[in-house]
Amino acid sequence: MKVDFSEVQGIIRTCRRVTSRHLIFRFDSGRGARAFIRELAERITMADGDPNSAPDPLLNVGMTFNGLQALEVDQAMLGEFDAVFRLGPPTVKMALGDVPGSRSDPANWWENRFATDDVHCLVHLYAQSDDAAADAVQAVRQLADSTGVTELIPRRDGTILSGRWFAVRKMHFGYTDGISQPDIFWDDETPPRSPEQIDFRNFLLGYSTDKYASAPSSGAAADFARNSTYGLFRWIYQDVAAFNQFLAVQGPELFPELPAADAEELLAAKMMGRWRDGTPLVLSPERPDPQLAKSNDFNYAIGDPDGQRCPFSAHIRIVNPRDTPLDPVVVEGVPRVLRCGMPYGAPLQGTTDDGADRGLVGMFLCADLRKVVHSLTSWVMRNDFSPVYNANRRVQDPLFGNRAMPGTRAEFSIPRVGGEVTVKSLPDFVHTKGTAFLFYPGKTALIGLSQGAG
Amino acid sequence: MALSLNFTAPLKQDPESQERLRQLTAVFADQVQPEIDAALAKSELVHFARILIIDNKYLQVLTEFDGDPMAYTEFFRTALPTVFEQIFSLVEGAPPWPEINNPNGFYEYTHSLNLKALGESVDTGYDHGYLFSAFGDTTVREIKEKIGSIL
Repeated sequence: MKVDFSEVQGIIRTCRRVTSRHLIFRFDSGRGARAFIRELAERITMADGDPNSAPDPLLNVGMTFNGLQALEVDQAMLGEFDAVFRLGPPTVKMALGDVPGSRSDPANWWENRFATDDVHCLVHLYAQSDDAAADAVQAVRQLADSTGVTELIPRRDGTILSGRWFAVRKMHFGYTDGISQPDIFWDDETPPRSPEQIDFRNFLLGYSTDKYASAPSSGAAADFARNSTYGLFRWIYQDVAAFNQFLAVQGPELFPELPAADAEELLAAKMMGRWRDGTPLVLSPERPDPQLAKSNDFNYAIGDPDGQRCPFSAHIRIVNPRDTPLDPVVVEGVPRVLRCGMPYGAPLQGTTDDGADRGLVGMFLCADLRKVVHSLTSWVMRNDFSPVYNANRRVQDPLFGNRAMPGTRAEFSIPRVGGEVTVKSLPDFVHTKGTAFLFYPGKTALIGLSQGAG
Repeated sequence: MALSLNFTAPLKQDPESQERLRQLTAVFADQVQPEIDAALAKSELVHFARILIIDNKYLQVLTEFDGDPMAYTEFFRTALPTVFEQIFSLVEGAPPWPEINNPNGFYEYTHSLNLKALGESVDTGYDHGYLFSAFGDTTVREIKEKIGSIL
């Protein structure tokens, strides 16, 4: 079995451009929605071309469960889709860490401009320039107007969600992104180059097996969904001023033996598990090493069993625990996701907030949304999946945890030779401003959705 | 704060199903209970659990447990497949076991039969209704650790 990339949306292979736009739509009639998808289908970037030489824009489209319903997809078929996809983000808010009453409360998403239930479709546009992106937005809006599809504007100031790299592969908080993307083998006939290569069934629908389960799992629904993928779309605000302030105050307190700037950098590295240039702490615990900045060849059980290099709660140790032993109840193992997000908003230096919106347009692709939401996102909110957390299973990801999560403690423990140091009251550094669970149809599903089949 | 599972399913009323229900009830303590006991103990998540039959019309699985309500359904499906197959074969309207004997189908079906208790949940964020706990949000692991330290 070899994946035919002409059947798969290009987003699964690349979304690397200078800037992005994310248009949100509500379908008001099945007929209009199908016409919109039919016209749009011709413009979608599929995965078979050279993504680097493809002309602007790269265009990809995903629909929510409500969107598929509005497209009048057969109810029996929809009933076989991923359970979490069907439930939608507000229903599984606690697994996402979007606690009612906190700043991530789904009731406040999309800046209260519309309800999450009204989100039916997202069109992602990637371009090398703002002009090209603006032209692409205009073209999609014209198509929406002509087919009776309503655009939803998620900001009170009337602007849309747009990503932009402000420095090469740098995210807000200063970390380098995109180092540990899964290495996928797309062809069963070609043996994996290494044990680390991951089966494409982790990401594409329609190939469900006992080992790589996905929904729909079989029959006509699986045929329809083949070469599609699910996506977790997250609009995440990042409080850069609070983060910088935290490093400036806590870094020197925790590591008084270091110059202040070095102490701040060490604390930032301990929170992520990598230095901000990308160097893994497990491989270089004392300082960043440019030779190791892109390294992904390390583990924890052997390389750092006591967390003295990389704390157990460091972000990368939670979302990709590698060889860390798991609790017996974690029978499904650790899901892998493809990340294709981009920062939004202008960078901020220093510790004074300027009131501007900035953060991450996060996109995480996978074939099993149920598993991703109930493991990875839950584990970020509470590190309760491995015996390595036995000393305190109530702690969170120091960067991305919601401190309002019931039953958790806003603490961050950093094991060190000679004793552990602990941050006792972590502030919130992020909050969620919107979420959508998306189905990115492959070619078969696109044709079906365009024609009203399925 | 522990959460409650109030899985409640209507039972088939035809004579053959009722006879199988009678047989299950008769052998439960000796043949089914040990298997369930081992799985629940291994999970280290479940405070209490019991299975009830109400007037031969409804079956209830009632538990109090720690953590995300749906995170570990897959553990129980894989740990107790014959138990669930047997139980669901008695449930009116249950899909055939092969249809729900997969992570997604099992998750969705069990979710659909979980009843909300009266009242409002306290300090959980979940809309599960009221559950009293004398132990606050102390988890099974924490209780075991504390008990172990005083025994």
